[in-house]
Order: sequence, then structure tokens, then C-alpha cells
Amino acid sequence: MNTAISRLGVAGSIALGVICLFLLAIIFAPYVAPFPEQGVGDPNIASRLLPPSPEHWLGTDAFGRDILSRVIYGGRVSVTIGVTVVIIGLCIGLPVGIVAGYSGGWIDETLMRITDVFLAFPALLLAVLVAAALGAGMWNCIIAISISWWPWYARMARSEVLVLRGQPYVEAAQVMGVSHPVILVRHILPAVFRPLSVQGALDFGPALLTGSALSFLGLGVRPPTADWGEMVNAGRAVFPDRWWIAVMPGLTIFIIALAFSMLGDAVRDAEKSGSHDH
Amino acid sequence: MIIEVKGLSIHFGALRAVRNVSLSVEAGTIHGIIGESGCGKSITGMAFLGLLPDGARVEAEQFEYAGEDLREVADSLRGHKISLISQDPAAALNPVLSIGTQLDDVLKIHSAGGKKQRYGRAKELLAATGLPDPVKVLKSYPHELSGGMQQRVVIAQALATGADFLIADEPTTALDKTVGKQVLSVLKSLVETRGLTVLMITHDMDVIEYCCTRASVLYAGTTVEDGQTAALLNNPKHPYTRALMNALPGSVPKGQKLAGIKGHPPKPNERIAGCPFADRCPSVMPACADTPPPQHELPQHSWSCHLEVSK
Amino acid sequence: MQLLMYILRRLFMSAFVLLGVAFLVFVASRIVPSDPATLFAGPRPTADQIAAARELLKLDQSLWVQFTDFITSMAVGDFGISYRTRQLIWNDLASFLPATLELALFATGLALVIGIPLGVFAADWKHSWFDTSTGIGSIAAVAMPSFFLAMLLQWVFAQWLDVLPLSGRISRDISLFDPVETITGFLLIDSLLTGRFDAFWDAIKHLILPALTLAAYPTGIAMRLTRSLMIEILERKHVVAARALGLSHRRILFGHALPNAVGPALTIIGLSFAFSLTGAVLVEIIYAWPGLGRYISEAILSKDFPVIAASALVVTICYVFMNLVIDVAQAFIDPRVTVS
Repeated sequence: MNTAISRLGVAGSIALGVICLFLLAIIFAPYVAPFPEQGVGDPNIASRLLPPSPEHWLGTDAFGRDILSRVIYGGRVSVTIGVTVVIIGLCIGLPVGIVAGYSGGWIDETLMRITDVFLAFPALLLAVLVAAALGAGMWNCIIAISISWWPWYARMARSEVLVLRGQPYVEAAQVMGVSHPVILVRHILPAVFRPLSVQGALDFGPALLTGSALSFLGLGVRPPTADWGEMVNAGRAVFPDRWWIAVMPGLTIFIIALAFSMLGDAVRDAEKSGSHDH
Repeated sequence: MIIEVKGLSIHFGALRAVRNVSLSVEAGTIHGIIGESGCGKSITGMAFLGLLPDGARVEAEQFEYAGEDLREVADSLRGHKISLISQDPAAALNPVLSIGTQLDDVLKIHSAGGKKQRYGRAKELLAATGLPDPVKVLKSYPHELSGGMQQRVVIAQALATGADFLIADEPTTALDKTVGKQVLSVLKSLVETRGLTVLMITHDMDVIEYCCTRASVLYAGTTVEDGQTAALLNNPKHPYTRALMNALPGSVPKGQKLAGIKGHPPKPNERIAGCPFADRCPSVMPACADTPPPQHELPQHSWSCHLEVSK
Repeated sequence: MQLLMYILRRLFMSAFVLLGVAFLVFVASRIVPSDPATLFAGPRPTADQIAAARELLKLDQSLWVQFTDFITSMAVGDFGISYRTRQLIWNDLASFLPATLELALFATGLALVIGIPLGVFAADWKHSWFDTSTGIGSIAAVAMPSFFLAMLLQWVFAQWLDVLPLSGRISRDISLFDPVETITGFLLIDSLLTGRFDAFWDAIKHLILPALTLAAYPTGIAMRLTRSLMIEILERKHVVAARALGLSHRRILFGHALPNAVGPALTIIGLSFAFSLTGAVLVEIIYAWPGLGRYISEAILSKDFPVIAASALVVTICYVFMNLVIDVAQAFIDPRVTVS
């Protein structure tokens, strides 16, 4: 564990620290948030549009809700979206890519042309299209982003498999008559999973950003549940006079996305130097 | 002697890529360096060009080109007096630039005259390497040429620098046997007609026999035997040289073990107290383990081994 | 000949991909939770109106008929009628698409002009202070939500420093009293064609902030990709060989290494363009840019699905076309591409 952290370097360790703190905060939101009921959505008209103060660290919004509490509760949505999208993306992309790469021939051809169609859309646009068709809501949002997410993993997995397929131990297993499913599960899957999971870790940030973009467009969770993108959009009307309403959630998105990218970079670098060592 | 090297060692931190290389090269000849892969041949070659990777430390009693210390002047001689013919011509040529552009780039630095004159010179150089249709070659891209043609272009580039000392780092390894021979004969004739000097790095005794006047046998970064080609081939003294000879006909493919000898060469991080070859030597004796072997000198032939002493 | 075959093959594949894209858009338009006929019939429709709408939209026909119908009408540019504005979508697209393309292309150009040189120098001075700071900058640019960056830039340059206009594509003085004649729909080009340098300058000023906003992400990506690409290329054997031939460092960097990066860098253009096109959806709202993005986002709010579908399709066609151009350009630059 110690060496794992030292291999991440300074930037990676700071990023990891920020993410851990943040995860703890959203997991224990009811105990951490100063006004949990406002975080969930209860308005508090008495304290509308207050600037940051000792009582409300990040100020309050147009409904008088404590923005810190909203940001913490909104984090639950954003992280759920980011993580779930990557997992669903891997769950679809990995098998498609592996099967395509391993079987080759018309199966490969068909699967890859389908993947091409999905990749032909600019990613966010496909998500917007699907989310608009499905309607607002967290799960619809997750489905919409996942649909634009998996083809990248499929492509990556396929190219990894193409390399693996020529490896002597895979060829040996084939010659010895080991069945294809066994080869796939024993030899191919573990070797493909590693680089793809690193890519997945790198993608939490972008997935979360895409989620916040949909939410900004009004395709995220339904109010009164807190959602960062929607919070920025709500603050736009009173920006820059009541700057904190938009800036606080906006900065949060930036910091969390930044932390995820930095951690992802550090993991990838550690992975690279690790593979050099052995 | 255009090149004088004595006691050359190259370290990367604790790694000793080259431990003790000595050789002298007479101007106008081809001098071979032979050994298995990982014995420090290529690193030695790169040291002449001042192109060692970052962190390399070069030490030597003597490391001279025409009387100048290469540790100081290698950077300024590179591409002017000393140049390189590298192992894999396909990789040594820039894939996205035409041959004409690449050759012209070199000529721009080294020859006076305008575009027209350089073009003429480029054609001349390609013709000198035995390429049949220089005009067409100048217009082509590397991937459109065969390996042999690519290697001729690389030689033409080296000639274009005006260098008189060329490091040829396994110039035929990437080519098939016949084509390799043709490339070697081009080099040989260039040495004769233009008075070039070539350091021929190879793992193939055939190459030594075919074109080198003299050769040094390297093992674990150490010169173990050095001499006139005829002397080496007819009367090899060091057991390692004999093992290399036994690997004939054919050669030792890159990375493959030497036929008839068990074990591996010592790793660059190993300390060697006695003879580097002791672990694998068929005629090993107790002294080999802890005493550096003595140097034997004949006219035009030298080697370092315990063997002759006891006989 | 090889090149021609390659282009034909790519054309064929693009056509196939577009068919797939149309199919996906069609599927999306049929999973809308609210009944398209009800939406089409307008607010508080009667049963008769809905039935009429159903017949008009051919919703009672088989899916296959609906799909072929969809494809043929899309192919001739008949995107139907907007639920909200009751206008022909084609007319709206014709006026909004150039605005978005102008913005996206400008942003793409900006990203390449900034990102690629920075990446080259970062690779050349690996591990220097320059490399570190551009590295941090590129991560930050990639992590910044564009809609938030748009607000910040607006605040700094339009409200605080007051050096650039807050929003819009051109000043009202020009658009209302002395409009530029529309020739191509690209304001920058039209103003130059008609010799309206005042309008050109005004349009540029309006373009800077939204383009900068859109360019942030692709700039970061371009920088990082160029850097890692150049580091890899600078270690290749032909670069070592070029050094052994006595070529100067500058000549090696720009004359030998960079041309090798051009092929992959074209991919960066594709990525940047894709992001600029879709980022426009977010950025155009904030800058009140009269383009497709704002059109889409308004359509989202009013559940105007035909507009969303048509816009998505058109934007994707632009993107596919761009990729096609890039592939062909790549084949011209690096002749090896056509072989595989």
C-alpha cells in the first residue's frame, strides 16, 4: 500500500486524497452536510441568496438552500453517473471487443461496423439525443451516456485482443485443444481487463463532466434533487451579482474532474513504469 | 591509425555496458567488431558518434579519432567526419519524407552550391552505391524501396556527410543473405575507391571473413581477441572465438544462444573478477574464476586468456 | 490508383455509417416516451387532431415503411416540421448550421494553432518547467466544464474588463440597420466578400470568447497527444540516424519529427472538431449564439423531438464528412495508409 501511494507521485497522491475526502463526504452526506434536509431539496425562503458566510460556507441559492449541502448531495448523483457509465461502458464494450477480436471474420466485421456507427456521432451529441428521447432522470442520463461510451472500450479491447491472439501461450492453448470460452476467460479477459480498467479510471472525470453537461441542459435528474450542472445553470440568471450560486458548483465540477484526471494520469504512469520494472 | 581505443568502458550508473574495449583501426580499411547480442558492440559504436543515451559515462585511457579525444569532439565530428549506417534501413529512413528530401537535407549542411548542384550530387551518390535508377529513387518514399535499396540510400546519406569514418551497425542483419552480400560489396568498393574507413559491427563471422581486414572479438563488453582476419579465422586463440567459428556456417541469430556453449553472457550489472567467459568456457581452469587473464601478443594478433600460459 | 481505390472504399464506408446513423436516430425518435402524434398535434389536442397527426406522421404504418420513409425524406432534406415553431426544420437548419460550423471550425483552428506547437515544445523540453506547466494547463483545460468556463470568460472579458462583447454573433447596430448580405452563411466570409470590414471585425470580436471556450478542451487534448507523439517519434531510429548525419536540432524537430506527427495530428483535428461541434450545444446557450446548439437546447426544453433528431443527424453528417476529408488527407500525406 505504501509503495502504491509512493508510485502515484505528489500530484497523484493529492488527487487521491481529494477524491477520498470527497467520497467520504458524499457517503456520509447526512452527517457531513450542514443542512441535510436542504441538500435533499427542502426550500428555506427566509435565507434566500445569501453570500458565503460562517453559517453558509458557500452561500445559499434562490430557494434559500445551503449550497454546500446541495453540492455534497449533488456529488452523489454526479459520482453515481460517472462511475456507473464507465462500468456499463466496460460491461458492453469489453465483451463486444473481445468477441470481435478473437473470432475475427464476419463476426468481427459486423460488430466493428456497428461500433463505427456509434462512433460516427460526436459523443456528447449522441448522449443528448438519447437523453432527450428518454426524458430527464438519472438513470436515463446514465443510459444515454453509456450508449456513447462503450464503443471506445470495444475498439480498445479488440486491438488488445488482436495482439494477444498472436501470443505463443494463446496459440499453444489453441493447439492443445483448449476450448474457446476457456481461453477467452483464462487468458484473454484478464490480460485485456488490466489496460481497460486503467482507461476506465481515466474516464471517470470525462464521464462525470458529460453528466454535468446533460444536467446543465436540463436532461439530468429531476428537481428538487441536487445536480451540479443544473445548479450552475440555475445560477446563470443571477451571475455575476450572486456569483456563488453558479461558481461554487462549477468549481466543484472542475476540481473533482481535475482530481480524477490527475489520479488517472498517475495510475497510468505507475502502470507504465511498473511494466518496465518487471 | 585513424582510430585508437584503449581501455574503453561505458557505464550507466551501476550497469557496465562496456567494460574494457581496445582496438585500433587503420585508415582505409574495414575493421570488424563481432560478438553475441548484448556484448556492447552497438553501444561502442554509438560512443564514436557521441549518441549514447542520457546518463552514460565514458571512461578510457585512449579514445581517439585522428589524434583527437572523442570524448570532447564526438559531437562536433558527428555527421561531418564520422557517420552511421544503421542496422535496420527501414527504420533509419524517415517514412514520410521522400528520399530526395532526406538526401538533400544532408547535402544542404555539407556541400556548397545551389539546389541544382545538390541534386546532381545526390544522383551521383546514389549511383555510387550501385542504385540503377537514381532519378526514380530520389522521387520515391522509403516504403517503395526494397531493403537492399534502402540500405544503399542510407549509405549514400552517410557518404553525403563527407565523413571518412563510418560506423556500420549490423548493416546486413535486416537483409537477406544475397542482398546483404551485395551491400557489403558496395561498402567494400567504396572503401577502396574513396579511402573510407568502416567499423563493421556484426555477429556474423561470414561478414568478417568477406570484408574485414581486421577484427575484434567482444565478449561481455571486453575485447577478448583482436587480429588480422586471416589470423583470427585460421588460428583462433580464445575459446570464445572458436565457439563463434563453430557457429558457422550461418550465424548466430540475434538473441539466440550460441551453439555448443551453455549458459548466458554475464549481465551488465554482474561484477567480473577473472575471465568474463569463465562460466561458459569448455577449457575452464581454476585461475579463470578470480584472476584476470593475461594478454598475449603476436604480430597482428592479440588475445587475453589463461589457456596458452599453462600449455 | 491505390489512392483512388482507398478513397472509394472510404466513401462507401461513410455511406454505410450514415445509414446506420440514420437508423439510430430513427430508433431514438420512436422511443420518445410521449406519443409523437400527441406532441405534434400541439397543446390540448382533441382525439381527432391526434388521429389526424397519426395519419400524417404515418405512425399507423409498419416500422419498416416508417423507416424507409424516414430515410428517403431525410435524403432529400425533408426533416419535417418543428412541433414548437411549426416551421420547416430545413429552413431553420439552413440558417443555424453555418453559424455553428463557423464557430466550431474557428475553435478547432484555435485549438490546433495553440495546442500542437505547445505539445511539440513540451516534448522537446521534456521534464522542464515549460513541460510541467503546460502539462498542468492541459489537464486543467480538459477538466473544465465548458459551460462554466463560458460564464467565467464572459464575466472577465465582457463585464469586468469590457473589451469583448458579452454575447451574440454580431452587434445589433449592424444586424438591424446595416446587415451583411448572406452569401455563404459564414459571417466572416460574407463580410469579406462584400467588403464589410467593420462587420468582419465586429464578427471576430463576437467569435473570440465562444471560440476560446470551445477550444479549451481540444487544445488540452491536442497538446497532450502531440507531446506524447513527439516524444515517441524523437526516440525513433531515423531521428537518431538524422542526428548521426549531422542535421541540426531544429531541422530534426520540425523537418523530420513533425512531418511524422502530421498523420496522427489529423486525428486530433477530427477529435477537436467533434468536441467543438457538440460543445456548441452548451456554449451557444450562454453566448446566445444563433446556431444549431442553441436550436437543439431550446428543442430539448420543449420536447421538440424532430428538431433534435434532424439537428443530431446534420451535425453527425458534418462530422462524418470531416472524418472522410481527414482520412483522404492522411492518405495524401502518408502514402503508407492506402496499403493496409
